[in-house]
Amino acid sequence: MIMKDCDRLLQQLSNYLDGHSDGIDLIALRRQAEADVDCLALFESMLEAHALFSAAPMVNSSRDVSQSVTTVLRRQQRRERLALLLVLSLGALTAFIPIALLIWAGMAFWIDPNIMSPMIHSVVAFLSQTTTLIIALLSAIQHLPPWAIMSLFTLFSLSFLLMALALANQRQPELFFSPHHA
Amino acid sequence: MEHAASQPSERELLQRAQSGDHRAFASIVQAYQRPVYNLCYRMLGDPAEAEDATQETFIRAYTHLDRYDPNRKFINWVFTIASNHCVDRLRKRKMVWTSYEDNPYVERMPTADNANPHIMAEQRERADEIQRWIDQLPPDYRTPIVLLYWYNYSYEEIADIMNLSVPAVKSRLHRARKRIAEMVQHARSNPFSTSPAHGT
Repeated sequence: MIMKDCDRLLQQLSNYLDGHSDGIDLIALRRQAEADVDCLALFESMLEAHALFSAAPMVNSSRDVSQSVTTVLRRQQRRERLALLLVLSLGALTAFIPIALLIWAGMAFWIDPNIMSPMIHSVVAFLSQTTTLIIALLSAIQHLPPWAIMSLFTLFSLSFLLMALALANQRQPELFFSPHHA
Repeated sequence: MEHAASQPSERELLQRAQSGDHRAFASIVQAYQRPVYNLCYRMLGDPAEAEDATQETFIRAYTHLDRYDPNRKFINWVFTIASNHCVDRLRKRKMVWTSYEDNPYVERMPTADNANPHIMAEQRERADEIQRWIDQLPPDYRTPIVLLYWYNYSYEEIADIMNLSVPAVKSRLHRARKRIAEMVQHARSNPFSTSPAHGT
């Protein structure tokens, strides 16, 4: 018997063992397998394995998984709540800083363009950089939606633009607004 | 009867679990931990790893409860998660050889013959042999064999769990059986050899 025939025979046996007998006669199948010693050995081994597997019991664990699952889930929930709180605080801070900065710088500029002293400039730059870092961190961990990142980025750009204008005004007041123009 | 009527149904428990009720989910875990553990143990062959895999399966199930389709049997969905997780674990590790005999965690099914040490030893030997054969099967062949023999699942149910077509399940089952038959043949012709006929 060639290997292909034996394989077809074993496939039929496999179907029979799964309960899909469809007219398969086990005795006739075995008789066919008898034509080849190797095929018969495989045939018998398949039957033996089937009998052993069918009788094998279910195993059980002594550990109560439900308890450990509940513990892990509670721990996970606590961690998620903390992370959310942290993200919300950082988000609120991140949103507050550029808005306050912009209002403050804008008001100072419009009241008196010369008020932007180098010290204010340094503070503004430092705050902006710090906030940029926080934003980068938040966006990196994907807690901020794209629209929020874009809005904050626009606010930063505006505050930087304002700073640049204030600096330029300090150096060449004749090009910009000055009390003389007013 | 009253007691049974007051017990919440699986659907109710799942709904409660979806809204964050850990206790409801713990009841579900309690109901299904044994079949899931058995699947993991049969797939991995290591009791401690099977416990970890069972725990991980339920945590993943809880995390993705919103993806569960209520038209599907819940246990089948959990089996899909468990099977995929165990296959991933098997692919990650190179080769693990454990003996059922050395397993302090496994509680075998109590039988009337347990009193007889000879019968008990024979049963253990047989169980050890079966697990060794499963351990030598490729990961993708283990799931259909376990689902068929320990859960009496039909081709359709196995196909649903494994996300395969019915002919693919039939083919995997046949190949798995043929490999096991070769291992049985090898074991019978070399009764003192414990080396596998096929490596993973």
